[in-house]
Amino acid sequence: MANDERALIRRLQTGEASAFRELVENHKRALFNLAYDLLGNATDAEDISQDAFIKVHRSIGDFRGEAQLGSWMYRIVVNLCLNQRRKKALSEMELRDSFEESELHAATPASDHAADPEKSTEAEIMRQHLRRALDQLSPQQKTIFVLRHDDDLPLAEIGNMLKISEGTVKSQLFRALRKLQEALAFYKADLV
Amino acid sequence: MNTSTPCKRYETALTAKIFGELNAGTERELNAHLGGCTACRNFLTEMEVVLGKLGAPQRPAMSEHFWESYWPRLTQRLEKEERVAPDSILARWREWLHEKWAAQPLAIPLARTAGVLALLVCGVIIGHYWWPQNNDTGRQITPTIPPAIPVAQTRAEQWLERSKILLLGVVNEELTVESKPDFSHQRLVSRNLLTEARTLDHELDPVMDRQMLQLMNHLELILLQIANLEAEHDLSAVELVRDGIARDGLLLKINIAELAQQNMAPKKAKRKSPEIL
Repeated sequence: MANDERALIRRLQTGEASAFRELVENHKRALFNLAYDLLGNATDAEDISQDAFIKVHRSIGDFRGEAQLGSWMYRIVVNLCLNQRRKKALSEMELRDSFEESELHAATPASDHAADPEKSTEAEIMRQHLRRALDQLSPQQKTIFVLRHDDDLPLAEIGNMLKISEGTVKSQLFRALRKLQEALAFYKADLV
Repeated sequence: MNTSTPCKRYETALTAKIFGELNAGTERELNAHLGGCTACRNFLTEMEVVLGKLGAPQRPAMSEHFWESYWPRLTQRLEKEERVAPDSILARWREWLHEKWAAQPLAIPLARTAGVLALLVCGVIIGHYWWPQNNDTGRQITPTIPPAIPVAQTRAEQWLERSKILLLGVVNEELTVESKPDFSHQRLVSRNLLTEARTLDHELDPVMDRQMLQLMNHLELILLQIANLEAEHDLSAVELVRDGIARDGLLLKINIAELAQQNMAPKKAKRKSPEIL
């Protein structure tokens, strides 16, 4: 841990208001982006990132510095996002039935974008199709994929963050890749 | 349309290679394998295309005003939550006391002593009016009917038992490609249990049944995973579910909860027995 981070933590733990503001200004974009990558909604992303800061504000006294401050806050955001998705899944019973339905819907990716001339390039349609396929992954698979691919976190750190082994991270990531590969199969004829 | 299915043995190595996290030893072994395996080679090529097409994440370009007003919105929320939180009221009260009496070093110990004395006086008054009624040894003891165990609690115990049976089934299922395990029944049971859990969440007492609710929360995560299993042959997902059950010690926790409930039942009966006699 860097010295200035240690100093910031000490200032936070003594309740210095300017230290908390500094922390928010330094990390607000990263936390917002991570929440957005996981939830795909700007309003939810703002709420979750602010929830995370509030949680940090409340529990900074218990932070022992075993992990980096950034990793700790990332873990808070990931947990809040997983909880949010779990609550949504439970309340809407968004289980496989609706999943299969949306999968059928996703099988015709070009239809809803063809009307928009700006987005109707083949590459953009394919990108949107693959991004939609990401939404069909299980919450854990999507989280792992987003943390590795979008946020460039090492596999070991993801394992620590989610409290699972690196092997499990790899096997979940592999399953995510397979699903993306299947989504790409739609276009395979054009690629080969 | 078909996709290339890589060799099972090299799945994690291929994943690590794709994300640039393969160690030198495994890389040598994988490269030797890739030389003779078209399926794994094709998988790597396809994944390069997939990740290339996927590109960087598209995030909304939030306005400068959004970022500038982020801090005021956050502090507003913090203040609002602190107004509601009872511990902050206590903290403010303490702060006020300290500010008020900081100049008088004896004020706080004196206030504490006065508080203790006030509590003692309250205790004496309550005891004076309450004790004679309870100390009346001559009065006839009327049998009282022990309070019925709440229906929600009984249902929660049954829910726990059914979840345990389901988890035992998942843990003990033979997992080989040849055995072709079919989890459609377990998925259905999980869904029913999840639906029931939602009702129980509202019916159970958050204070009295706190431990039961916590255990149910843990179980709901695993049940959700089971409910989301592929109907057939989802072997690695089942292994993950099993890992989750083992990691969280869920079966052990259920057994402990059941033992605790069994122990509570005779104690409750014993506590009531003198009055009944």
